[in-house]
Amino acid sequence: MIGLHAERVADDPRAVRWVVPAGSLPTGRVRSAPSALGAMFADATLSAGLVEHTAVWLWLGDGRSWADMGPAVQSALREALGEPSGWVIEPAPGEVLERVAGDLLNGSVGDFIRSHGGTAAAERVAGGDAVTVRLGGACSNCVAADHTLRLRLMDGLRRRCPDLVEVEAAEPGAGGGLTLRLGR
Amino acid sequence: MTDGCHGGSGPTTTADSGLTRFALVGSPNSGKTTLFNALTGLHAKTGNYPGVTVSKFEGRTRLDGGRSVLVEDLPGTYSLDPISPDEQIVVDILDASGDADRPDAMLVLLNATTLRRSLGLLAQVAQTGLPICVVVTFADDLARRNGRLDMAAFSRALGVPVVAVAAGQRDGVAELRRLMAGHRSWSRPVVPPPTDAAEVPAWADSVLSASDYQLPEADERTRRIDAVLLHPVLGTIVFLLVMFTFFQTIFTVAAPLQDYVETFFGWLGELVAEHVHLGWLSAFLSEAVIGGIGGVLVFVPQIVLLFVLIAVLEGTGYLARAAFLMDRVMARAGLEGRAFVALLSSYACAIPGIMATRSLPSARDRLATMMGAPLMTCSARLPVYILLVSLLFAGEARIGPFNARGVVMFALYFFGAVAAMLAAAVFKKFTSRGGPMLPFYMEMPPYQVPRLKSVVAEVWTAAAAFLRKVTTIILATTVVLWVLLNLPLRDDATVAAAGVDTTDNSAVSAYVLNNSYAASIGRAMEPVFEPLGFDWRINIGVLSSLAARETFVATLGQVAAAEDPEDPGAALAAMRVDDRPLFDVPTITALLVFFMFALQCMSTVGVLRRETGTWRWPLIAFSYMFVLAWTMAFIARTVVSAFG
Repeated sequence: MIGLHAERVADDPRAVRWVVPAGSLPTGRVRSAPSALGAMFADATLSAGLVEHTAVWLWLGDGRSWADMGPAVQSALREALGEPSGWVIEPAPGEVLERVAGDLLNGSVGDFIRSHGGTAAAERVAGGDAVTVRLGGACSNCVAADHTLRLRLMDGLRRRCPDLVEVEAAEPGAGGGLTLRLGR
Repeated sequence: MTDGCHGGSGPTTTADSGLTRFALVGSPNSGKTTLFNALTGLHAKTGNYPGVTVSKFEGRTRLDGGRSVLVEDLPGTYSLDPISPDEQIVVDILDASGDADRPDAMLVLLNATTLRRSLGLLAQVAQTGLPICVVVTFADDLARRNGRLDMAAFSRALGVPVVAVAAGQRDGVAELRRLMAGHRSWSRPVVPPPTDAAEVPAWADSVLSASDYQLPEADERTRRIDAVLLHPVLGTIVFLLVMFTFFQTIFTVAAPLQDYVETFFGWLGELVAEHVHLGWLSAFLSEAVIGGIGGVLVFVPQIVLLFVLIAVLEGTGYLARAAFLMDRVMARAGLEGRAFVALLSSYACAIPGIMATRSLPSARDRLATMMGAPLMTCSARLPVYILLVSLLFAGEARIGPFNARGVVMFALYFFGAVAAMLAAAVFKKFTSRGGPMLPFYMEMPPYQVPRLKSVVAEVWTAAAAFLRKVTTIILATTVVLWVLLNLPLRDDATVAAAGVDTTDNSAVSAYVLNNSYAASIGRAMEPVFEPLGFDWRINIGVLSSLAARETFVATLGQVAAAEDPEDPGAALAAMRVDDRPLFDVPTITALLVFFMFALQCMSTVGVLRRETGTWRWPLIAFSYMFVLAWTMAFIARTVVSAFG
């Protein structure tokens, strides 16, 4: 029995982040999925899917709600995870990194930053595989911000994106920040 | 175990309509009662015997901003698949849509040291759609024993607010009060947890893994003691010693106490005979009322001792280890170790045994254990066995080097236990068809000195419940039996017309008895029991033993008109039917075997009804055991006759 559970995605009621066993699938954008889950993509019950190392993000199509569709999607996803060869997943490192970083900034890492009076936002570098995390608020002028963010965010990111290879400082003058790059 | 656990300060049970209502939901030992006290300020018992809170308890608490709310402490339950009325209460309250008693929000308590199992209950509770706040209890215990749980991640994974509380610390409770004030805006799971029993453990694992959950290590002192007590060889030796002491205490320490009770009722009977001169009233009072109550109260010392021992074993934490050691043996019957506790209790009486099945989280295991428990040799069988075995062998008879009576008694006890295990195995197999196996969890509580107050409270509750529930049944039956044995009333003319000397009291009694309603009933039963060699007199004994098995001895005593109804052996041995002694070897064997298997105990039937919430299971139990008893008795009689 494959273990999974659903987590709410802040500010996006159509999305659910399904936490699945790490490494169940290659990461990237879902092009097609096997069995009942595939049928849900076909009949527009689901509009999009994204795979990270420990989770599968699924977005519902128009007019559907997770309250109604949740249990059915859960069964279909569990079944589909049982046949990883039936998935077609297109690598999308930038998109995955953006989601994960955004998720961390909405969650535990963000809680820490906000408790210090700061703000943080993740933004993908146009067309690329890298993500920029920008700090604002009280963090803007904090000399320790870069270091703190590195420690906190990197810890979470390494766990959820094991193929993350590089972290580099953003260009100076950008208000403090990090540029993260996903690679193989 | 039943009411009264919350002490005498009198919690309010009136329905304060209009107040926001919070329900505390959690398994036994989740710290519910402690939190209830912390919130409402009522004094309540915080014992660790499974099923500590059974009755409904409500209290008020004041939240931030001065608003009062109601807190209801629901009975502890491992799941929402109800099998006992306690668990049914939880289901009914959570299901009652639109009912004023339905809570507005739930506080679900999860024990941090046993989270995996506790999540199963949460998954079920989440299906009710009521707002939930998870209260993680024993978080201090988890930290002290190097366990770990990321509360924020746990809250995210569950989709509901989570707060940690520790006994004796105010921070957690203050945080909980703040959360309760905002219950309308509690987050809800975006997708409810799975409902399928097979999917729940996988879901729980996923949630715990995402929450960085690390199981707590064993307590150091506990670990060292366990190194001995759970050792395959040493542990088994200690276990056998404990069990030996257990039985010795129940059977030997209780004996003199039982004698006192018997002496007291004997004295009371004489007092009645002395001062009540109305013949039939005197007989009724001494035989039916005092005999009936006395016959039951004789077993109170055993019941009290049994519960003292079980409460001490449970309180120290040893019972869980005994269950662990017995797990492998019990597994042969498809049961888990904890069922052993229930079967062990059934050696004294099936009633506490059946009640002890409450500690089994699986409904199927509970049913299977309940179906097997009445086959264990309960203390009420003891007087019957002693009477019959003494008719079978002289005191000095030997089988090999051993006393013959002792060997037969041991065999009866042994085969009773084997039969109970086999019956449980069959029922487990039968009820498990097509259903998934539930995961097996066993808690190993740290060792501690049992608290006197808890032990006394448990023993008192058990003894009081025993007296209240059983005396009503036994008393009523004895009264009815007495009436049946003495009616219809015969005037002297009728008796004389039948050729009986009206001046010979025993001859008159014998005539009245032979023509009583009871005799008619006994004769009506003859077609059923004739193949077993029973005549109407034994039939009446069998029938009366339905109230309580030991009534069989007293009834035969009455029927035999023996001098001492408690020892009618001599008179019985002289009884004849047709041209043979009534109590010949094949008949005694058949009776012994019949009593070994038959559910001759309406109290047990009543408790089965109460614990399963339906008449179905007691009916099944009674029927299967009757058929089994009759068949085995017939086989035994046939075999013994053939070798006779």
